[in-house]
Amino acid sequence: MRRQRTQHTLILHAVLIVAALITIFPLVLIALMAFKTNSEIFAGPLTPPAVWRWQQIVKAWNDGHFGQYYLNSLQVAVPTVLMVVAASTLAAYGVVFGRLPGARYVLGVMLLGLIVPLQAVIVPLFHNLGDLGLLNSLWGLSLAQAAVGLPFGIFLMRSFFLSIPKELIEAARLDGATDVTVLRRVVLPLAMAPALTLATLQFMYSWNDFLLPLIILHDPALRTVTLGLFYIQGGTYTLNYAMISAGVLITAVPIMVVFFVLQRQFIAGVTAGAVK
Amino acid sequence: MSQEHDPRSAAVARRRRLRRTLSAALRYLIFLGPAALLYVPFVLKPLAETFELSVFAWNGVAPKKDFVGLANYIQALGDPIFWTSLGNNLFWVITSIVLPMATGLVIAVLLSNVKRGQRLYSGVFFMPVVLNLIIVGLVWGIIYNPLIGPLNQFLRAIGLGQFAIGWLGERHFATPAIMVAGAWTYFGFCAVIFLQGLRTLDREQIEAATIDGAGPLRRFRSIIVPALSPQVTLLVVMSIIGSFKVFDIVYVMTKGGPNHASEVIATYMYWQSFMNGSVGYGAALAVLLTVVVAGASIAMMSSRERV
Repeated sequence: MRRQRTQHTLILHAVLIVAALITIFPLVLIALMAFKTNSEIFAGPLTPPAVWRWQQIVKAWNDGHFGQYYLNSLQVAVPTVLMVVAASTLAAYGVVFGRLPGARYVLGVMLLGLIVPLQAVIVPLFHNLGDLGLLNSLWGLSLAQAAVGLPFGIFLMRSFFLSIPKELIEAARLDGATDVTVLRRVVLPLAMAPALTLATLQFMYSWNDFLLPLIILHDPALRTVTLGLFYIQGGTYTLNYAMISAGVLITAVPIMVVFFVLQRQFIAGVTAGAVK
Repeated sequence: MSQEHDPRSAAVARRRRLRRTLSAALRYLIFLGPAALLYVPFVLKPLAETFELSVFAWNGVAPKKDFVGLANYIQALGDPIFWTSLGNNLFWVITSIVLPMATGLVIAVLLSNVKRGQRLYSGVFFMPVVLNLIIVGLVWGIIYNPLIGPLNQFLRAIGLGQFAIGWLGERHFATPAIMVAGAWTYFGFCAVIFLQGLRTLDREQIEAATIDGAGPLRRFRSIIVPALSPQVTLLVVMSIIGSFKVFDIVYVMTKGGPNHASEVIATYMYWQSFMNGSVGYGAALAVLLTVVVAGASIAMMSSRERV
């Protein structure tokens, strides 16, 4: 019986390991390609490169301007995350604990943004940003991303606030605490965990966003990492497969490292974000 | 009663009411001001304007827009590329329900039976979910490459060279090829959702069934699948929404080509609005897309409450 169970476990692990290998296989092939010469690439996908040509990665980093693009992506993602977390925490607090007349309707209008696709706003948004002088600007992209991310932020923070017992807030109020004090002393210390989940998710959305940077950023020097990677396949690099593969490596490895470090946070966040 | 007639206390009441209104207004400003400052100009206003634009003819630059009523919507009905796009969206719906969900379910059942390494395995399967679709599109673009792509090199190696085609350049194969890449980014998500459902499963019920002589297939069909129905509902609706919103992966792999064959509503809407100068028509397509996605989202929110 025990032997049978051990055998069972072994088969289970064997199947899962094969499935895991199939999953990462495409990435491994591309990673190998980044180090190969063109003739090695034509020779076949499975043969490893004769030597590991790290200089090709360095060249792709430099020619692809990824140093600049990483700075741009950070310059967009950090303000976006701060704006979304701050504005959604305040709004969700207001809707749940703020004793605002008609809060239900305001919430309804805000959550409308949760069910419409980005395509529903993209063309007028482009023209409005243009009128405000915010096209071709990292700030403009940040504001647009924050606005689009806001409904989900409010939704997430609100569902957390609803789980806080009302009595806790009322007790603080009876002690003479103002709204600002209640928010700072009672609610915020409790809200750190969902706020962190929201921040992680929003950072990922901002980093991976493609459509908004595509329409907002026209100056090549302003591209984000994701947009810069998209343009690596066009123009001069069309046939340079090693260059494209190196670009994939340069952009994917940091995401994978962050993911494996914060795995629990990510999986919890993305499954909570399933509503989006 | 006497308060009604006392001018002094009436003034106090008025002042108190005013102060209450003011303080509510102030709370509105503090709590909802920052959100409104972002949401109104960059989401709410453009959303209304998309509906407005959909009844105008406009090239995106001219100062004048021409009111055309429902002509943009009627144009969609007679536009073969619109129907191709819609057909591709529906193909995405059906295949993304079948392929990644079935794979994810099998993986989840396997994962629920291992004690050690569950976290590591889920990490590997989930990893494509967090990669952006430009990375995914480029990776799979190279895999499908007719000259150096590993897929064709593999086919030639096993003597199936006649099937080594330019996958993304063939009108019948472009959409299925992109869809497989999409499934790669989605099955791990399905697996994690199913795994969460399996954790709540009644172990004793399974053991009882085993003792009663139910084999693994029978247990899967009669106990596990019914128990997972909330997760199935959630993922089906999510697949529908995702299949209609799909844009990035199609745009990076084929831009909707060859000759609009792999176009979906979102890419076609982008092309009409930003490339073809038919902003009004693009807006009408956006409205149609919005109606479908919003409808499915509302269905999902009501199903989500049951999960």
